[in-house]
Amino acid sequence: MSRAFPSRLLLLLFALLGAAVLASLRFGTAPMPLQALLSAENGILAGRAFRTLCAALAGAALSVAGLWLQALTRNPLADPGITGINAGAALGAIGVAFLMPQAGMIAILAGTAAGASAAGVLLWRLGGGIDSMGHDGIALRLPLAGLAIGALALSLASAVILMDSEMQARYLRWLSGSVPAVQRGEALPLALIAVVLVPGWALCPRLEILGLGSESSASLGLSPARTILLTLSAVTVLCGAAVAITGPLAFLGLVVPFLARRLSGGDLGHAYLLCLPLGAAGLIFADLIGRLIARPAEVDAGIVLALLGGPAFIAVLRLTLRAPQEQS
Amino acid sequence: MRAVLILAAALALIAYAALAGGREWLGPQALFAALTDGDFVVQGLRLPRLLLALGAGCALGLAGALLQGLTRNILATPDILGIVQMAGLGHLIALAAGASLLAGEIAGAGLALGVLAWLGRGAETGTQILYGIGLAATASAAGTVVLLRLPDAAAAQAMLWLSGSLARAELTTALPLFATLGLALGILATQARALPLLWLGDEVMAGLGTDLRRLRWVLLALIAALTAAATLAVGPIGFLAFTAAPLAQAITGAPRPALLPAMLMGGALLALADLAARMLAGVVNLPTGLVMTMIGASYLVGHLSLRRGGTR
Repeated sequence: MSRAFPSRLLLLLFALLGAAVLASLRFGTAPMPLQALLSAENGILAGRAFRTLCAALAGAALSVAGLWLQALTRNPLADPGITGINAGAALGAIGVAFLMPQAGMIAILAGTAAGASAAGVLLWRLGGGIDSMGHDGIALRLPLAGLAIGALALSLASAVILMDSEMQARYLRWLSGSVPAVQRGEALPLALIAVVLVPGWALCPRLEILGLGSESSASLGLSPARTILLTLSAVTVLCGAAVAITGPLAFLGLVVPFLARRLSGGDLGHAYLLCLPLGAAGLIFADLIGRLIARPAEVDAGIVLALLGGPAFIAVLRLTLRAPQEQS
Repeated sequence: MRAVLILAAALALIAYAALAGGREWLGPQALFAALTDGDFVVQGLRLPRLLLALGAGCALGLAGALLQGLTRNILATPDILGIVQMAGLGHLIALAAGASLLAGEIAGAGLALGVLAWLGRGAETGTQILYGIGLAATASAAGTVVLLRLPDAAAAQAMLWLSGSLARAELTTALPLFATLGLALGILATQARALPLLWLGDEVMAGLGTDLRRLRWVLLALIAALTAAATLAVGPIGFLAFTAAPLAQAITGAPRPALLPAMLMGGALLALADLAARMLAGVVNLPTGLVMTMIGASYLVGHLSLRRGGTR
């Protein structure tokens, strides 16, 4: 199980992340010479730095959440966006913001966590419960159930937003998934993600043992139910915090874990480490592309991800379906 | 036949409500007077909305039932497979390029069918549906990007259209819509012998003397044309083509493929969704497409929870 530690690869990916951060600081909607950018007064650099930090942490959080969901369900298509969990979290946040206009970030976070859990429970029921989770390979019902949950939650959230003009100004773009340009109390979810991601690595060996089967997990003294509960709670917190920052993003948690698992050669702990820089760089680049392709307008990161994510989803599906035939 | 009668009666009822309903409800006599006098609210606002909703709903319901029958899978409908979204993308690209909108829509829908057929060679239907979901996501996102690059005046109108709103309904798109619908019904009438066999399987159909290759091409062309004409009129409306046929069967007990019941059900559903959107307008301005998504997504949740066994 334990392969050689991919230190060179990890170094390479962190270099990629560094390049993403620099590009995100340098380029934006407004073209600007380097001199003007570096003069401290205009505040553009600070704004871009905040935006880059949000994209990096939310991207890493969604990628790790996807990796864990995929390990748990043994379904390579289980992405927090595709499964409708992010949409549920968004509906939770919108519900809280609508009922309590003065609500602070703690209440919003509680809303996203409640919404994400509710979507998860519904997904578990519609996806066929334990039955379809136990088999290897692709359970096709999972993305279908996610489509239904996602469409329902997002349309309800839009309806609530449309009821109130202040909500429209604040949340209409957020709902299609966008990295924030101005600060509105994002420090708390950002800190929450950082706090979960550090000890999160320790969850991977437990999950890997669970992957061998419930019996072997129990015989090693690790309660399968406890592993599942821990994983689902961590996924809920990560998705809830990420959605509170960027809105419901899809496809990032599909593509990044897929690449990380291929690059790591199957070791979940190594895949976890690769997910962090790759996910962070992925969302930074998606946000950057959105700022550049429609100048002077901005394309939200959620749209860019969906644009690239559809073909990626199809590619992952084809590669996964082909894989068993190659091995035999 | 019974199914068609039940649904036609329901449709007439909804049509009456859609024309008479508003801040003050009109009685039958007052409505007749308003229709013949050329009352602006009834003739200029409510009637175009109703006609477009009915026509587009019928077209999408029919297209959905045809594709479900052709693939023998209830989930294979133009909206879930991304054909509606690709037609919408074609519309926006044509708008940006100054080309004919209907041609753009048809090109988009045709391209979607081609891509799906190419990707899905030899794949199971369940996998093909997932390919469609991916296509739908990309097409909607690409549509938004094109929208951002349009000039402001065109963008505002296109945004309203994209959200599936009938608030500015104009009858200019009704002509291609009803012409396509009539043409489709005429062509389907010539295939009346083969169509009831759709769900029975290729062997049965071939055994009974159906030219399968030809039938497939005809039906695919009709699906593309119907989807394009409906999307041109009301925007890319989701979950309507998917919901219409199964709901028509559940309510009337009509046997598959239930083409006419699905068509009427589609018209009734969209007219009802539009009526609901109008009635709610005092509280919240919801586009008709959003109301339809709420109805249709709830139906898909119910469908999946009732059929927890397989993937179909």
